Amino acid sequence: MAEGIGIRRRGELAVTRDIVNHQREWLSEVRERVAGGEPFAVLSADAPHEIYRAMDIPYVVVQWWSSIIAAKQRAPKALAALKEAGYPDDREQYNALGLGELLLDEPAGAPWGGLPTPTIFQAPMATDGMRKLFELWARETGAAFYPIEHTIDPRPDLPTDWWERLPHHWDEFLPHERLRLMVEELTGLVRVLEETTGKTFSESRFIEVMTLANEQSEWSRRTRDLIAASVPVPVSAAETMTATMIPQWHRGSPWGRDAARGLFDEVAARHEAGQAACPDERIRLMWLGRALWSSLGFYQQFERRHGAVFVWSMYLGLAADAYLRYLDGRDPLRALAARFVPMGEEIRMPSWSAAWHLKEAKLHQVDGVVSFGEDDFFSSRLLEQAGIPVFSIAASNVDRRTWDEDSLSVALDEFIEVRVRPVAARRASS
Amino acid sequence: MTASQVIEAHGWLDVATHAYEHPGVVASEWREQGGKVVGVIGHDVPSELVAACGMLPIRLAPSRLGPPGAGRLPSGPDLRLTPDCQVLLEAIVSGGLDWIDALVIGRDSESYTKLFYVLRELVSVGIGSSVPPFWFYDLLRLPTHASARYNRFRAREFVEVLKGWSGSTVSEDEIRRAVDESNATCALMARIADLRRSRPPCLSGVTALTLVGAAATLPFPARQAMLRGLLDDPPPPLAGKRVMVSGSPQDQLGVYRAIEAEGLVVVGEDHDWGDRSSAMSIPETPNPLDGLVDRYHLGPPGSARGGLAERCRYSAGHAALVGADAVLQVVFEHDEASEWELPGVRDLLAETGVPVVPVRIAWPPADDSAIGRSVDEVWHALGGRDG
Repeated sequence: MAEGIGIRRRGELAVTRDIVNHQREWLSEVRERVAGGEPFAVLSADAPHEIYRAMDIPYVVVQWWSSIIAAKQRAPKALAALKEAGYPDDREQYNALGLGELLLDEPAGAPWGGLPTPTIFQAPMATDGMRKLFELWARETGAAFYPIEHTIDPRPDLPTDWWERLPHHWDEFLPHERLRLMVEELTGLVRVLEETTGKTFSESRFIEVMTLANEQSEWSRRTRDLIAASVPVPVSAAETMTATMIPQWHRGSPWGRDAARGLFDEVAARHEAGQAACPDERIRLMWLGRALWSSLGFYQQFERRHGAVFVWSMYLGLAADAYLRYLDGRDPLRALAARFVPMGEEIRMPSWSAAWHLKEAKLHQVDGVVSFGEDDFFSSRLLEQAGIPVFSIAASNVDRRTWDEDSLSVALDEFIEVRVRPVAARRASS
Repeated sequence: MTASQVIEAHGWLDVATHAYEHPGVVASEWREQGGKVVGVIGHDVPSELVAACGMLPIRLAPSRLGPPGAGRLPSGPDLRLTPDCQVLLEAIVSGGLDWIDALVIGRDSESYTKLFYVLRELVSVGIGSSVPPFWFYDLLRLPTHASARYNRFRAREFVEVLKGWSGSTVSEDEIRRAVDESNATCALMARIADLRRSRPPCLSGVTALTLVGAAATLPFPARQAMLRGLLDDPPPPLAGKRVMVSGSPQDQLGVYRAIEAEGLVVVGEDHDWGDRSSAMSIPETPNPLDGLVDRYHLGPPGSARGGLAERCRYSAGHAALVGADAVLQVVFEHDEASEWELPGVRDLLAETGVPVVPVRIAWPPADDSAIGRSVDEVWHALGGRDG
């Protein structure tokens, strides 16, 4: 296969097509609103979107925009533009593609007509390059940059069952000082946004947003649970990656909630009708790491060759487990803080990620795990100890210099045949 | 023998070199007197609090702990730490740091956060049985009221942890004494920095780096005696074009040696093992903890967690302060932050005609060829070695 072409995903659900179409229309509407003088924000995935939603400030999420750039096979050009401008092309790649696309200065070729000109950038200081990258991107577009602090939990003994306790018991589970810091950050953010955009923050509207976000998570949880329990699986991870990620970035809107419900409804209908992603399903796989957005069909080729289906990715897993924060009469801003204080730690902090990966693998009856670009030592150790083989690849999903479909396919074919098939056979016979 | 008598007998440079190369010996001598040693990973840890609790803080330099792979780590998939953190982890887990009684990891870089996460989990699953007690010091850097309050909470919490390690209490006066001592060192380092920045410079970059490393190792009396010894008997002036080193922390002498072997003198740096460590004294406040927290919260920014504009201003401003003819940006392959600063620093220095030459190298730096090529570039930008 020629480099940079990618393998197209075979569509499994009507709802995914509707979601993608809506996203195109939505971006077009945002472009019109911004042209009419409205503010527009570019946010990282772990920024407090709900505040922007409540204040009716349109935003896009960097990681989604990167996925579009990668899917349109423009990542190599975007990375080259960064290098041309004197910036590194191998740091923070997943977050830097948007800046590279901007520096390319090819508006006619930009995916989906390109981004409107932002007025606000926001990201937490969770990686070494993030603050500089966003500050730079904001400067290049003339926008303001609002960094937000990210704290660390230094306790020696952390409870690990975060997915059980955070939805209802977030104010006991998270350390007080971390919550307080985030509440103060969010309070300051609201004030800055009111002053800089002229928009108003309505507490009633905010409660509505938080409630909708929880409802959306509940639908994702139902979908996740149904997929986990269904053999054969009604829909593959190649499909749910897109069908979950786009609604996630509309979290707190009726459309986001309804899209998550639409996904559940169609998956449930397929399950009831006996439809499967791979009718000949013999092996169930888990994908740890970011999606191969430029080649989503890559995942599906193993269905034909091995009866092996990727049933899990973090996108639906996190949608199901990481966002729920019930208000139960408590301060909604504090509940939002509780959503963002630990955000990212579910997948970056081994005390939490390893336990969660094992829980999800068992729930989904997974026979093997492919880990791509992840710091996965502890997850791998735990999974292997549980009898689930792991194949680990050090690569970046948006940098095709670090991987290609052909060699990855060969490696996974062997992994599946040699290590995973015996596990699947034991599961089938038990 | 008093600290001053040691300097008289051995000379300040020998004392500095010994402390720089053999922190374990310094630690052992301290422990033989009944004291405890706390290993410190990073610049952004208020070591003064360790001293206030009667313990000796020694800043750990990964490149002086041995090459990657020297220690014993669990077999299996790679932990995917940065190589400097891998070395630190190996030393901690294998018992290679058996001369420390406890360990604190600062938040200079998210690679250190990851090191903490990994260490905590290794201990949790029973792999790190010989790991000493350890703590993570979560310092926030945004200059906000919220961060200031949070940082004060973490400082008070750290005091409680230190009290547990030392087995004794600590008073406000003891914290004030430690702050005063730190400021006294800072004042001497400022005078030494003046020597280094004089025209011609009276101190090589290699010597300056040695002094910073030694000062982060020695107990207060020995530290002061070493620095006073230099001021009483400064080295002769040096010839050579003046260069500032920017970028990744240099906790070894190899890079500076390679630069200075080519006729350049490193008169300053913006990384975490040089001028930054003594660039700001601790403000006097009614409660000494407040001034101490402010020093680390609001002090000169490090590359990994500083903002882009503030770091570029700091680096370019420091290049001007030290009178650099050129800036050499030395970045390790695992450094995620420094290279974003390059165009900004170049723009700020363009008006003054100070060139900025970048070079990316492996860690630990073993091969001088890349540094050599970048030094050639510096000379070319300055009009040639004969210019």
